[in-house]
Order: sequence, then C-alpha cells, then structure tokens
Amino acid sequence: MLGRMINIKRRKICLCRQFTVGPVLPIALVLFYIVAPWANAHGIDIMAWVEGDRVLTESYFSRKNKVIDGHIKVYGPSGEQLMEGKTDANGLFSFKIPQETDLRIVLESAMGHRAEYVLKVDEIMGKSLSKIQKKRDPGFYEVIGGIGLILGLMGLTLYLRNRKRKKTDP
Amino acid sequence: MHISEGVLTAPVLGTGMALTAVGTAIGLKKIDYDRIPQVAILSAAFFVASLIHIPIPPSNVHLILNGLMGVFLGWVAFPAILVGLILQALLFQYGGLTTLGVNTGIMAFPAVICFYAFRHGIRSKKPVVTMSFSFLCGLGGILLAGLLLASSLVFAGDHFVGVAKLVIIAHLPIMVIEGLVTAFAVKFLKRVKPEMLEAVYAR
Repeated sequence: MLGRMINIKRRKICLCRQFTVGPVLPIALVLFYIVAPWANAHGIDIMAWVEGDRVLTESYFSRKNKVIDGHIKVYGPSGEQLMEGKTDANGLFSFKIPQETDLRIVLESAMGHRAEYVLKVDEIMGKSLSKIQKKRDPGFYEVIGGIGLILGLMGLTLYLRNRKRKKTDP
Repeated sequence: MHISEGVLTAPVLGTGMALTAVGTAIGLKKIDYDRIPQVAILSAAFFVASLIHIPIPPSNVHLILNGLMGVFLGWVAFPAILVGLILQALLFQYGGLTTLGVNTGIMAFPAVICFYAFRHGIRSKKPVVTMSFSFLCGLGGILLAGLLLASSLVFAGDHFVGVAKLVIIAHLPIMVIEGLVTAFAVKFLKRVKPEMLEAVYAR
C-alpha cells in the first residue's frame, strides 16, 4: 500500500517536471494575445448595422438576455450628441442615419453597465461588408477554451491509461 | 495556410483526408504515453500561434510553427496538428471541417519531412550546427507547406507556378521568423531539457 502511494507520488512529480519548461511557449503566446480583448469584457454589448437609411442596434447581456430600456446615445465624430433613445423589449433601437460620418453609439443600462459600438462611415455609405458578415477575430474565451480542450484531452488520455494500468497491475 | 470550405473539389478533399488518416494513425502509434503532456503543450502552442499575425509587407500572415512541431514530434506532429486545426476550425472559423484533412496534410507532411531531413544536424553536438539545421527546419516547414498548398489548389483550377509564387512570397517573412523561433527554441530546450529533444527518437 505504502509502496504504491510512493509510486504514485513519484509519477506525479515526474509529470510536474515535464510541465516546468514545456508550457513556457504557449503561455508566452497567450500573454502576448490576452491584452487587447480585455478592453470590452463588460458583460454587456451593443451591435449596430445599417439597413436602408436606418441604423439598427441590438443590445444584449448575452444572446438570450436583451437589454430592455437601455439608454442609447449617438455621438458624431467630434463628440457631439446627435440622438438618444431607449431600447425596446427585444433590446432593439433604430434611428434614421443622422449624418454620413462615423457614429459612436453608446449603450448605458442600469447599474453602470456601458458598451459602445463605432459604426464606420464606410458601413453607413454601404462601401464595406456589414460587421456581421465580416470574419470576427477570435476572442479571449475562444483561445482559453481551445487550450483548455487540448489540456482536457491530455488529461482524459492520461486518466484512461492510468485506469488501464491499474486494472492490469495487481 | 488554411484552405476554406468550398474551394477544393471532392477528390482533393478525399485524398487529403485519406493521407491525413494514415499520417495520424502512424503518429498515434508512435506516441509514448509519457510524452502526452509534451504533445498536448505543442498542440496548444500550434493552436495559439495562428493568432499571432506578422504584419510585414507584402502580406499579413500568421505563425504556423509546423517546423517546430516536426523537430520535437516527428510523425506525432500529425495528431497534434490535427487537434489544433479542429479547434481552430471550430473556435476561430479558420479553414473548415471538410478541409480538415487537406489542411492537416499541408502542415503536417512538411513537419515530418523536415524532421527526417534535418534530424541528424539538429542532434549535432555543435550548437552552431544545431541552430542552423533547426533554422532550416522551421523555414522548410513553411516552404514545403506553401508548395503543398499550391499543388492542392492546382486541382481547383489554379495555375501552379503562379499560386506557388504568390503563396511563397507572402510567407517569406514567416519563413525567416519561424526559422529563428525554431532555432532558439531548440537551442533553449537542448540546454535546459535535452530529453525533450531526444524523446522523439525513443521509438
């Protein structure tokens, strides 16, 4: 019994040692990437797109929970307020394009949540693809999730192997 | 280097899948269980590396690290790259699920070829030799991947020389960068953890 415990312990130590140098590269790569996405990790989000001569916005906490009665303000390029309004029961708010410049759309909900979305002049003029069609850059969670899945796969393999070994070893 | 869905014809996709299946099977057979953490770490590095874009004109391409995978993993690069690519396709929408076979082949075959071509040099006792062969391995990984990419696009109706030129010119900065990354990674690990380099020869 004791001998087996020591054996397990030794195996664990061995695994740890393998980890000391190995992760340096991926961790460095992740740190390299982490910095940017943190800027908008608020738990509230607004998205805007152009349809005809109107700008449509959708505000949400998550895909399912829309921001109801969220306060929306629209600013022009030099910071002047052009418009304001409230989101409806589906988190939607739309307005006629006030001027053909970049528009900064700010969403504020109760409890100090705030998000903003900049609608570029190209999008308003219909020169570029809408944001929805454009390929989004992967975010922080996708990266961490992927690494987690790989490490999980490793854990699963090691677990299955240890179980097999336990069965064969008396 | 990620070919998207809907670009290639069915026979090319099928061939890619078959070749990748063979490579992955060989790779899985060669994995020693004690090396699984190392394989996972390299797979994770491959997965993340694709997010690091190098904006050097004339192109904006990202790191691939397949040469580096080759040095440390040999045939095992196949399963490691396959796992990385599956997750990139699912989470980043890079490439696609139908092109998984072709994309894995494009990146993993160069890894294996470079491994066999440069392994003697990399194991050399002289640091200069080790580093220059590692550099070639990193560089060759991308170069060969570019050629494979071009040749798979030929079947989609593109002209080989034209595509190959385009791809390789676009990847010139990455070739040098990956060469350097590989050279320094090998140099560092050879000093700190030489068994990591030797593990691939155990079987």
